Amino acid sequence: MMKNSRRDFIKYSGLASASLFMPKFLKATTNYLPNDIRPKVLVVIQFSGGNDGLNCIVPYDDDIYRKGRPSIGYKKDELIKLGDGIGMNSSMQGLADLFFDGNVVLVNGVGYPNPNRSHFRSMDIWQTGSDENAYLQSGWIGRILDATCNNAHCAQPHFAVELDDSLSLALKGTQMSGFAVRDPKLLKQANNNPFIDTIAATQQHSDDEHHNVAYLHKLLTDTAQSTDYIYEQSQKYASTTVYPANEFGNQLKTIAQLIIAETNTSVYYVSLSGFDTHAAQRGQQERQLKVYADGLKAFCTDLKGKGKFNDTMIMTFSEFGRRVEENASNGTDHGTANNVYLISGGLKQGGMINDMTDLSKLQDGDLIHQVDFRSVYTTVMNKWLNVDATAVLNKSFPMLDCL
Amino acid sequence: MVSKQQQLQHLYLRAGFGETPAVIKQKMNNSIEHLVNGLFDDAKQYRNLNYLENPAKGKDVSNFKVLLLILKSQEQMRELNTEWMQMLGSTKSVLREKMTLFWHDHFATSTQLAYLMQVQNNTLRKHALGKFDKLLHAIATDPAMIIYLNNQQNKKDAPNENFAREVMELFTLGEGNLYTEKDIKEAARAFTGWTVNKRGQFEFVPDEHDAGEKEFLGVKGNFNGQDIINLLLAEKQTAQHITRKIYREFVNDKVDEQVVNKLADDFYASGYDISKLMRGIFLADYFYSEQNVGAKIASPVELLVRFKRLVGLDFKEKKGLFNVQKVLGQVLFFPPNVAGWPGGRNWVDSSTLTLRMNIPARIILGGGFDIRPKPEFEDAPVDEAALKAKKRAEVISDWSKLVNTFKSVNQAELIATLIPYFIQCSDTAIDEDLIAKYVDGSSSEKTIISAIGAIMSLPEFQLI
Repeated sequence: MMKNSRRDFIKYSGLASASLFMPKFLKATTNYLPNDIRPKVLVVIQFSGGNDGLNCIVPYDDDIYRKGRPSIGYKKDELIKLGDGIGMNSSMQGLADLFFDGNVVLVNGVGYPNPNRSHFRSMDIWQTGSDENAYLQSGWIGRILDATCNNAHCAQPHFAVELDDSLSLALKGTQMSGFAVRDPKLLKQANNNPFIDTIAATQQHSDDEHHNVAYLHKLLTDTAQSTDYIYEQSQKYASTTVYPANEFGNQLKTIAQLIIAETNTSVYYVSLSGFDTHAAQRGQQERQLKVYADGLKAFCTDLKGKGKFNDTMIMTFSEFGRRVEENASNGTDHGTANNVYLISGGLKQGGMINDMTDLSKLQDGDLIHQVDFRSVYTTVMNKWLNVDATAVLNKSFPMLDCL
Repeated sequence: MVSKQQQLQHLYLRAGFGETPAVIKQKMNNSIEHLVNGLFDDAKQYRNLNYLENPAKGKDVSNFKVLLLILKSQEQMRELNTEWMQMLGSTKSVLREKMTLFWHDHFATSTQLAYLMQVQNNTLRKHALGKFDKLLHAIATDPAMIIYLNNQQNKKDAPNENFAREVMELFTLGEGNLYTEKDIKEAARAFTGWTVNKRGQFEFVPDEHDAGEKEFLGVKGNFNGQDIINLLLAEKQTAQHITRKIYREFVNDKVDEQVVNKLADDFYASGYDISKLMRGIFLADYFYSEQNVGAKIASPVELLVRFKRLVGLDFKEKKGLFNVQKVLGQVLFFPPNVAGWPGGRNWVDSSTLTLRMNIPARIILGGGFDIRPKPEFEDAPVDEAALKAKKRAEVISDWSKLVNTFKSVNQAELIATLIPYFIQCSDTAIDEDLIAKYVDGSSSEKTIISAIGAIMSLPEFQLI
């Protein structure tokens, strides 16, 4: 076994001569984006693990709810009152504030037919936008990226950015995929390998992307340009808004800074995990909802202050909701339909767009969906991102009347 | 023109996980036929994954639900995963393992029932180079598969079509070929009562089986599950679907229809003899043609195992090997869904390509990977304090084998000598001068390591 020192690495990887070989990328050519897509921004927030929607937007007066949840159900005086018999979990004060300002649309009972209760499969369905019995290998946002490809010109990967070290299926297209970056500065440091940078900057002799060699070189060049571009954009504006001191808060702050710097990114994607509350649900879910709503409130305040809230839409979803009846461990098991929240300063009208799901009409103890999740996607694509949703989803879905 | 050396390396990269330059050098005077025979001989000597004991053994398991609770283990799944990875990195029976990996992708199953996943893995290994009909019958009664595709819930009074659909769409005929929705419904009836008992074994429950007449692919009869499988095997389309997939995996993503048609005819005529099919491919001229050599983007598992075999890549903590698969986008035993890994260009995106190309630098550094995989769905919320205290996944490597192989090479010829041992595609000009700029010439050992490290950081190294 050989021992390697840090100095060896610097030498081997060529870090020592970094600045000498670093080329300047031609930024003018890197920011290709179709003009009609540019101005609006979509931020997708994914709750991983299956968030219990019934304890977020709570039908506290409903007998079926009260009987089904004797231990973990919420009572009227524990909730923020939204309307007749409906309350919001008080851990989401931030979301409630936005709701009362008319900046939130609550969509109830969003799901799909023959719901799958596996985290993996159901998340797959949500991320690809597939029918429940089909397997797509590209994500719905990835296919928006594909749709930008025109005469061999595609958008840059940073058209869609996921705040993570790796890319979710949602952002993987057939022809191109989005860009994963948890922290622009750290990514730039981690990828600071001058040998690879030099290759990335070298013009390839062949433009024939049918060959994998040319394909890899092109991807490498795009990646290097996106890494540089996103880093530079992230340095343009330092937010003074106070965000909660946690990972999710940091991610939202990074997104806000990029949006305010008018980055050529149309879709941001971020996940918050910890929603698989099979046991001792209340404490765990409340903690996560607070992380979400506090971060969200700071994010929207930040954007509002810079005049960007009207052009930004935040969509929050989870792969499924949970059963109506609590289990024996003061938790809930995997369920079906759930709420989706749409948040923006640019909504036609805020509020609850449809009735709460009827708890007297359950299927095997689970909610029956009222709205196909792809109706929400379709609305956001057609009315917000100005993308042809039918082409992306390969099917038409009715739109919601909120944008 | 593909050189003999490139041909040998091609054979070992596709039929296995690549061999070291020392092994290639030593085999240079052998005929391809001799080496192919050697691969099949080595495939006869293999060992199973016997890492996990059956946790339900000797326990009084009252019912199936209790069994699931006993068998479900995220931690054991991780251990089983790294156990197989280590095996891929060290086994001599490379062809059998490569085929087992192929069938794992084809019959993609992902459950957290670690012991049952081990059982399935051994079933795949047993039949990996045998007859496809035997393999298909075995997998149709495999407990993990039955549970994964809900055949457990497929009962006479309430049929569940999941297994019946996938057996046609993915495992035999291919999507949309020959069958209709009606055929799926009828096949589902035939598979009713195929279940897993509380000991975790396949069981046929006659009371839950629909013994009535079915009409399947235009034939009527009181079919059971075996009959359906045999009817599917009787369709030549099944041979066509399987050979196409084999061709795409072992030869080229882009299919030569004529070659595949011929392979499918022979595969069908041989009674689904997998060894015969593979031997035919490995001995064919087209297999070694310029357009097929170095044409495939290596899967993350192929890439990692190649690093294992070349420089003994490993992680100080066991979990590191699991996490690196996660961030690269292919985790053994965790295919994304029943359709398996999409493969091809899907293996790389902006983050994974950069990470792949940085692996050599990170191995040389010995410092490892600072990349965080996505949390599992079942995980508790992220612990902020733990995040701040996070450690790199530290790596271990051993370059001595490679250094020994090349230590007598003249310095001036070193880079030109090294390139063909690591780069398979021939339609690209590698800039030797650029590599030379990044070579650390402070000792002969460091010269070799840094030159190989640079070559392995080229995009071309991703192609096998």
